Amino acid sequence: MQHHYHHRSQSHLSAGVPTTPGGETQFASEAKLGKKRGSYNCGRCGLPKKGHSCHVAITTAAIESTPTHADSSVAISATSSLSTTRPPPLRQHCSNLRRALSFDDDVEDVRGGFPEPEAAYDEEDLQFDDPFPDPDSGGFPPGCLWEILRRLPPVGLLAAARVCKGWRETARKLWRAAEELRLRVPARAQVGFVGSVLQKCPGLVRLSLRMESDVDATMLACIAFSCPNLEFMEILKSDTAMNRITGDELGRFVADKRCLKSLKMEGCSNLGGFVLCSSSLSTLWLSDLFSLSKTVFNCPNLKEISLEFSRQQNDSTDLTSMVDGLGRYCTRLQNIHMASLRLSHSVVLALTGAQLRWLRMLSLVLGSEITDASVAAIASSYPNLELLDLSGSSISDSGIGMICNVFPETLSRLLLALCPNITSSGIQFVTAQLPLLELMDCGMTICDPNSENPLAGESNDWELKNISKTKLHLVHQKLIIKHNRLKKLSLWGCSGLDALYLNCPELNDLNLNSCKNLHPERLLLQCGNLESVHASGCQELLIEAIESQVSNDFLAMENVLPCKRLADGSKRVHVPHFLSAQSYDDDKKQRVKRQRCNVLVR
Amino acid sequence: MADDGVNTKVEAVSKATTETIELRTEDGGVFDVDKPVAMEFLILKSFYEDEGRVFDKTSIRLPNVKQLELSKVIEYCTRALEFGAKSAAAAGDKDAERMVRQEREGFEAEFVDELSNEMLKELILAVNFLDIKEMLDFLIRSVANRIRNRSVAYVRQFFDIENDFTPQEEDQIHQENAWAFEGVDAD
Repeated sequence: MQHHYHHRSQSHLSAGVPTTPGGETQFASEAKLGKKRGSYNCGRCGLPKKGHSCHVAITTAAIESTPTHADSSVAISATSSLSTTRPPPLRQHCSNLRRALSFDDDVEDVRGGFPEPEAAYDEEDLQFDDPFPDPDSGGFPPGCLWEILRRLPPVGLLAAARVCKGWRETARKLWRAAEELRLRVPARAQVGFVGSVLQKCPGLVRLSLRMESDVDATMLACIAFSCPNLEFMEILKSDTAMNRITGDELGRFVADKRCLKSLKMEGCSNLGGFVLCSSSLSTLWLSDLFSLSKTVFNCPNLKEISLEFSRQQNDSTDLTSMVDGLGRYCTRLQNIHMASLRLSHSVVLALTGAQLRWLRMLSLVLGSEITDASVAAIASSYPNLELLDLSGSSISDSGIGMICNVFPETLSRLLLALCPNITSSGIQFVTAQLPLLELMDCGMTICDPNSENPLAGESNDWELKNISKTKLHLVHQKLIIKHNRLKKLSLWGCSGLDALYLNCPELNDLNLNSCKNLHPERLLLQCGNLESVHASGCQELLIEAIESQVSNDFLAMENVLPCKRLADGSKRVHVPHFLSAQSYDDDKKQRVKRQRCNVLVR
Repeated sequence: MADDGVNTKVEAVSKATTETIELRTEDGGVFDVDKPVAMEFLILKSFYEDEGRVFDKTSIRLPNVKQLELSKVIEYCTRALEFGAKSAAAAGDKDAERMVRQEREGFEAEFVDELSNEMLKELILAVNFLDIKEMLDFLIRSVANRIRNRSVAYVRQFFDIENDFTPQEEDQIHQENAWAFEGVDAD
């Protein structure tokens, strides 16, 4: 079977599936990991990337000092497509200002885009008994001045230092107290810019740079020189910037920084190969990798690794020996994410050959050469997985059978998007067999990849006269899912899906984008906690059906049961077999205090 | 049912039957402030709690606060308490919570819009003296927003600060940070 998802994917490697809300901290890193998926879903709004225009490449986990932000789900906020070239809304009245630096003001969805680049400060313990204004502080009690300046973005703070000597002193103290800095480096920034900012904050622990100008080893040298206590570093890259850092340079940086715990870097196409030695490193994310020669991961405390390779066809990286080495040295790995077209069964065998006792989350995406045999190997070596993502692979329903055999006690997230050999019975089997499941992604599974639009267009014509019998099994598929814990379900692009019955009381998010052939009268949603339904690319009638099913004043029994008008004018009502009187009462009670559910069509 | 709960709480804040305390400002203003609102002024709260005094209808002089400021402070604190009560009543209902939040944001935006720079500064001094944490945080945020993108000259004027740099020093800083300030409007 041909795999046509390649041509639908775009060059961005951005996050795919949203993560479940209410994550425990052990899942926090998984949440971040979970966003580094193949390109079928845009990380910003959860919509498939086809025909889509979100601008940000990689979503970032909030490197924030406030723990509350850590686990917010990201993809649901379809409103924010943050483009860093757009002037921030607060400043529109100054839009004729030409600033060398400008910062996004978006504070709501920190995870959804590059977080607002302000320095977050560790508060100095300033005791101020004297409430009266100190003339040097410009008419304000000194403590107040600190608080005001603390809330300014980096450039504001630099400006504040020019106001008067007292302010310069306070600003200086703030910089020195800074522990976290997020900075956007614009395309025409002068060479010394980052260096001069970094030199002001020697106490920096977390640094996140969004590069719109090219980045090379001078930047690394700058950082190494100015920030001796750096523990978390992230280099993000806009599309136009180039990352010229080589593997040697990166290796030297990592080896020298004795307290570096987390390193994330985009645009790693010039690494060429590297030797990373660090006993402090516990998180490593590298993306846009290409043709790596030798790779050594001498990082015994590495817990989380994410390696995304570029989509170019002639990637010559020897993944098998790379994974082999990884497994040998980094035995504490808990979360592994790899995205590469060259992933194959032998790579999986290298992985399962390693003794990774702590492995809980495994994601091997885009490898069409990953088969059911690979699933068998994974299941036998790592039976305690909590997350498994084999999107883009060739596994079939029998692979699913193995998954359901081995993982029911631990697996809460299963992602099998773009797996063309899976059918609806496989999907239903999963939901029946995995009681802990909270997230499931089956995007682009139940569909006929060869047919662009055989059925779309005619909104009232449900006849399939011209479909050949061989393809019939791909259309008219039905899904009946009843699950107590499922929170997020994605069926985007399942154009073979004809009927859908969902009874999932905990379901928050349902993605039905491009479910072109889902029949409006064969849709039943009994999910009291549903907050958003994505229905872009669906038929008008379907969208209306969804809206009426999730609306609050939806009470009448007749509306709930899908019915079909027969030729003689009578109504035949389809009662799904799981519908019982008891579940109805529960549903009614839930409906009373149901939140507003948004049907998102954009 | 939820509504009734909110109403009774709001009434408790604003009815004259609750205990009040008399506050006198330095320019002769006299205010009868409800106890819950007055207790937001930590300077008063500690006065009563630490000293173990009975909350009777004594009069307290506030030497550093003027009428206009105090009335604004009372207005803000009263509404803040109301919002707090509404928020608590709406807990669990995301839509209601969102509505309360939006209402509050609307009020705060209007409140701060009406304040001149001078008034904003005076309020900060007053609130700092009275030690009202929430309102101080709100005012400080507002100030930060007002000076966020402004030129140095504007900021000096706002705070009524004299430039105590020598021309050479100013030049030097300007050189250091030149890249950050190209195109700043002289406002």
